Amino acid sequence: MFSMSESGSHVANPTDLRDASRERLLAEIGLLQHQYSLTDAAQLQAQLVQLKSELAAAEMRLLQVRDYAQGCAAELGEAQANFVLHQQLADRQVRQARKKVSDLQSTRTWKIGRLVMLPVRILRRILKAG
Amino acid sequence: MPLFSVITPVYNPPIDAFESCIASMLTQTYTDWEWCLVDDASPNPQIRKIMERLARKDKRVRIMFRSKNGGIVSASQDALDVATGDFIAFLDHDDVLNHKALEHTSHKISSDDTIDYVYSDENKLDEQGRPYDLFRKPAFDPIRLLGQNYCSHFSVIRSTLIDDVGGFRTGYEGSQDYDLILRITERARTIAHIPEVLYHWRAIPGSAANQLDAKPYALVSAERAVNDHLRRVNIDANVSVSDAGFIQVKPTISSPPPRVSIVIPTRGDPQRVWGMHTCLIENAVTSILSKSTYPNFEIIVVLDVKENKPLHPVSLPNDPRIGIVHYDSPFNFSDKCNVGVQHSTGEIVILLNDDTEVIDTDWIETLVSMLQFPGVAMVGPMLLLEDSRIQSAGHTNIPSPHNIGSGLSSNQTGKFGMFGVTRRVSGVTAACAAIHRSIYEELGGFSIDFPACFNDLDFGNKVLEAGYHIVWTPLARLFHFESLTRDPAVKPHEMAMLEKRWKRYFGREDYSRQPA
Repeated sequence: MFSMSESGSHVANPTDLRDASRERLLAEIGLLQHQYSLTDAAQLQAQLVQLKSELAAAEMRLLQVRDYAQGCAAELGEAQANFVLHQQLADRQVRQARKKVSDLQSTRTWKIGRLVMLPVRILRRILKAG
Repeated sequence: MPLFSVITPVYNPPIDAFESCIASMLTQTYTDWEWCLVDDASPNPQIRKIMERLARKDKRVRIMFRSKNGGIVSASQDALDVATGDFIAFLDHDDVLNHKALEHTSHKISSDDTIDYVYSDENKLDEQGRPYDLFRKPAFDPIRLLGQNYCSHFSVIRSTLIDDVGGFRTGYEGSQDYDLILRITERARTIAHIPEVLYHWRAIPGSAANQLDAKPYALVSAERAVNDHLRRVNIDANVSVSDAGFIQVKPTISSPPPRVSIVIPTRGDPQRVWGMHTCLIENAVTSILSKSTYPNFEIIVVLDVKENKPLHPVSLPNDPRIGIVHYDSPFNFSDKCNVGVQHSTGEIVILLNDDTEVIDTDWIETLVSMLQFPGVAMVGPMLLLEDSRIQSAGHTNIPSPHNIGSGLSSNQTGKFGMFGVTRRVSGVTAACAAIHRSIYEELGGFSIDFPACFNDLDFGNKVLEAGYHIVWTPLARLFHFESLTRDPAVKPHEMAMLEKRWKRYFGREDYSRQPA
């Protein structure tokens, strides 16, 4: 009729207990108390351990993500510093090239060459305009 | 372009030295200056003649003669009173200025309108006028300034700011310039450093340049000036003077003292220390427990295990302050530190190697105390090798990242007191470093990309990039039996990673520019 003594671990259906004796009810209560006090606490404990370990893992991941972000910022800073260096180098090379051109154009050879080629340039302009 | 007023109190200088001083002023490449000389009743009548001749020769020279000797403070203040320049520069009567001193200073000042105070590098001249003792100074370091007047010469200050602070004060003779600089730094908007030798300080017998104990009264004044300064900036601290003549400042620790967690990663293996077969972690923990006087600390030992068993037998004292965390992943020093910090509860974390041993009983107090300075995130102590030579006095990036002072005697205070004063540095070794826990977490702790080497360099750079400061102090000392527990060889990928992140700082250094 009732399952308590049979299973030893399952609480009977409440409807079965409607006409149960006092001893039976006390036994059921004892079983319930036993199950909830032990099982529930153990479950909670296990859950707590599990949560703690998940929290610790999350904390470590957070720490690593922060480090990753810091590392990315550092690499970006390094790249920017390199960019500035290269930009300065390029600027310097452009300045040097311009100076070379201007030095070349201020030489006597260049000036005489320009003078010699002047009629040709004029002729070209006339032809272009025509 | 600013007008400079150069202030020179004169009292009986050697004639040759005075003539050199005059020549250095008259040959300045920058010409917009006036020179205010005040003779403090020199007994040698020739001084007066030289000054009068000088004033006749150059209209920019203004001279005054005091009828009675009043001391350097009164003479300097008299010179200040007649100065009309935008900036005041200080020149002693026997010292020599670099001929481009005012030009460099003018350039610096023109680069930023908010600069109120500029100082430069300096060297000394011996009696024959030969230069020596080149002092490559750090960028402005208010913590080092508490220990010594390292700014000193060549100092140039905005004149309105000098008026605001009230000029020189009597009662600080011998350290009147130190007192003035401390008061100036409290109000200056920007303080700039020119990394060029603009001033040659003559070391003649009896001069402060020559020896510290030549003017013992100067130390008393200096201590008073520092005490006054700390009161004004609301730092409650214990101030004393070291045997070597440096001011030692330890900010008071809040009450109750913050909880400190000492995290020690270890494999638990034994090594030979001072000829004895020693389990390093047992030795380190025992020395902490037996010597430390700090009332609120815990020790977290992160112990390597395999299948839940330690690699080596370890027997730690039975003390409730000790916690053991098992670590069963492949060796990664950074990760072990992070795991240790995660399992700790202190507001302040001290990362400590297992191959260390405490020397000073108040080492934790000192490290915690230095963390009370505003903006300081990380503090390292003096680490000594087994034979008491220095292992590390902080990190420098010049010429490439390395320990300062490694292998040098710890009995000396080093060049310009670099081993004798608490000062800012670019990094400290993780063999022993105290860090605010909140900042450690904010910066992501130690990077696991550096399993063995450079993790501390990387972390130090992260600290500096975030705008915090790192301090090294000689007031806490530990032995560090360096790299006894691992292969000191650098892994190529770690160097590559360090370069990828921080190469722009290699060879650049704000604080420890002076070779040890």
